[in-house]
Amino acid sequence: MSWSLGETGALAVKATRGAGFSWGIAEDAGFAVTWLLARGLPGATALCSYLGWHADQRHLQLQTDILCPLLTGAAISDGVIALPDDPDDRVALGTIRMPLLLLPFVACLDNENIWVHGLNMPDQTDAPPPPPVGMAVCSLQRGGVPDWAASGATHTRLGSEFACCVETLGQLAHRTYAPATQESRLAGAGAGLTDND
Amino acid sequence: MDDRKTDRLVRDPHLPHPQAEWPLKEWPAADMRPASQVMRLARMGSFHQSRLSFMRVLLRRLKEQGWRFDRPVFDIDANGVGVATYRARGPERSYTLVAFAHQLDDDKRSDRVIAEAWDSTFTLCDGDADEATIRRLADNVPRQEAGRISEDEMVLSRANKSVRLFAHVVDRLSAGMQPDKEMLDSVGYLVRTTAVYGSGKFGAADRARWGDRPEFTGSFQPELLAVWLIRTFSIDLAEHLAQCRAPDTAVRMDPALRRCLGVGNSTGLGMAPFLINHPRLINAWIAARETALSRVRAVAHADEADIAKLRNLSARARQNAYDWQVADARQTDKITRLRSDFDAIVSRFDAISASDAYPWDTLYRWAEVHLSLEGQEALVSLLFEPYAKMVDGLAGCMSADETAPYRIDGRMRCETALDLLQQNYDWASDIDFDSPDPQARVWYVSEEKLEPRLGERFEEPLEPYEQPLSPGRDAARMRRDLAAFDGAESLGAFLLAYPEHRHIARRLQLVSPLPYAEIRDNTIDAAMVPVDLLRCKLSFFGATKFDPRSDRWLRITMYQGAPFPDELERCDPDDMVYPELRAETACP
Repeated sequence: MSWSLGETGALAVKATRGAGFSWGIAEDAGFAVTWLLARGLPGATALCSYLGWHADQRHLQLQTDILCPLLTGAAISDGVIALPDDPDDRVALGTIRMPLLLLPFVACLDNENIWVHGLNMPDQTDAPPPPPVGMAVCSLQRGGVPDWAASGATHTRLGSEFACCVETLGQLAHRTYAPATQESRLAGAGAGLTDND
Repeated sequence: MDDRKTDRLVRDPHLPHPQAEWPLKEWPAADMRPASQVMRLARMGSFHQSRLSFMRVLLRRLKEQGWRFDRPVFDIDANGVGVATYRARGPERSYTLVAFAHQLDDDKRSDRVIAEAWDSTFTLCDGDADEATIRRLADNVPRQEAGRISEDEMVLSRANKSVRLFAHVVDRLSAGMQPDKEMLDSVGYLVRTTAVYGSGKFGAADRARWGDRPEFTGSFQPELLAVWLIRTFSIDLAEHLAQCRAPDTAVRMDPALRRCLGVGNSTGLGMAPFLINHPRLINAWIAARETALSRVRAVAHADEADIAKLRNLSARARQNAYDWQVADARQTDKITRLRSDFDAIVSRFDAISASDAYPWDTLYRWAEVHLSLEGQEALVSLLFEPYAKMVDGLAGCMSADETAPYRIDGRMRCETALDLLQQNYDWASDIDFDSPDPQARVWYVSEEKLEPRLGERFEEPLEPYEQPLSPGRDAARMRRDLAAFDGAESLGAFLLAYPEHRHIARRLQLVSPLPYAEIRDNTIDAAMVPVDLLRCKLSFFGATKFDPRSDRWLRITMYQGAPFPDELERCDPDDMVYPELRAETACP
């Protein structure tokens, strides 16, 4: 069994909304997960971990200086966080939870070669990518074109080994569904009619 | 070029014009109708099928490319239970419909999306379907949403019988007689589908896997290929059951009678948000249709043959309107007007001659003044008919990748965003979204079957579950907050302060260059009629016989009158859309 990227992206949107984000950020999360999965990176794992924490534990969080990868990513994408001009400069982002989710937002910037430090990812290896780091101090740096070819979109499915992520995202997505009431059932399309005609 | 034509080619510079970027621009064109006129629900809910409808596009292409069809498997017992496969073989690839036939108790037969069992279930495979594939599919396809298909499948669907007509057809055929034509015409199908899922749903292949295949250029082509093959399956099943019941007397259906049958479809609120959720696609569809109209209106003089064709077709379309019967009071009123509109249209066509200058532009302008919206839009579709070369190529522009991400340009200044809001959502600025009626409805997804529904905001506790399907209201809210923000600041800074506007900010930037991307009506108003959204989409599919069963669901017919796979080679699918042609067609 496997999932299409389309349905996984749609699930990510609903799960992010279900975890309490605005619809606009939820759309960004759907983009980010699809972008990562298409490149063989553990986007579903990263979102699942982050949203699970966000939905259930953020209220217990005493440290307020650990930042959200989705809101930070959106701010980078929107140009609110200025990019470094000089290759020797780094723009400190602070401590980001599940920073892998930043990557798609940085990657979609126009005509920029911006490096994200802190993701703890191997530069290039044929081995499967390691699990995403839970949090890290991250920074952005302008750099040259990498000396290895960046992988484009080559993956088209989310495999069965991610069933647990899909289930967790599904549970969060479920929070966007309104419980059925007798009124809503009666107001549904085609309610109360026979189809044996 | 004469002065008059030059004048017609001058466009409103403020109207974004998709045609400028399109490949087929060799045709002169009149002004396009503005979005403020076209993108109103009352008009969109009056659209009719046309040459650009996706079913017609599909059949034209299958015919032009010489596709071949066969039925590799037909293993169905005398009770109507089993499996059959229908294969379509094109120049480069083949596709196979796998059809599972089931026995269903009457008390389980429901067209609602909350049903859990059906008379028959289907999937469209990318390529051939071998035994192992069929075994895998047999464990999943009959369960529909509860099962899983793979990236080797493209469509998941199901259908229920029209019980009375199916029984009638089997009874008659088994007795060696043909079914009653009036009954075939009035029902129009042996089975009706209740969902046709594609594009990555329930595990199916994403559009990215097949979107660039030439056989699927346009929209919904795999889904409509599946439906067309389902139509053949429905006839085969009835003929097979008649044969099993009375092998000595049973006959097959007369081909001309068989063509009276399409595939029915019941569609409800699940489809309604589609037009709002796919702004790029809707823009492509409407822009193609409006471009076609502008080209036809720019025809300086019509040929006698084209006039004759339109006279013939308008008479048949009028007959079609007189045959169109529904129970719904609102649609009945619309049909009554449409009939008198067609009386007037037929008279006008009779008076048009080859010497008239710009006959279709004149006719269209007359229609805007004298006809109902149903009549105007029926005329628009009709006017495309003689102009295949001018119109058909636009079908290639009727797709868009809605999955492509749209990055917000956060560097835009807030005052620019405010201007864009004014340009694109001026229609919403007069609506008082603080009063009850303009915000009476809530679009939400129900927990029971994960389908969109429409609730009453002030009567049910639904607001926390509201889906972002109210662009007018959301734009008005964004404008209120944006107007109080520093206009020299960036939109990114605004969105940092107001993340709740992020969805509509993205939408605003996305729809701004696309003239027909946004419906210019309030989609949560107390008086909004969801059936209008369904009708618009289904007209682009090529559906006919719109039959609203309430303000929120309807039945339609697909492929009624169209050729079957075994006759496509010798029939013109475009010449078979208006039903009364069947008596005259040269197709044996």
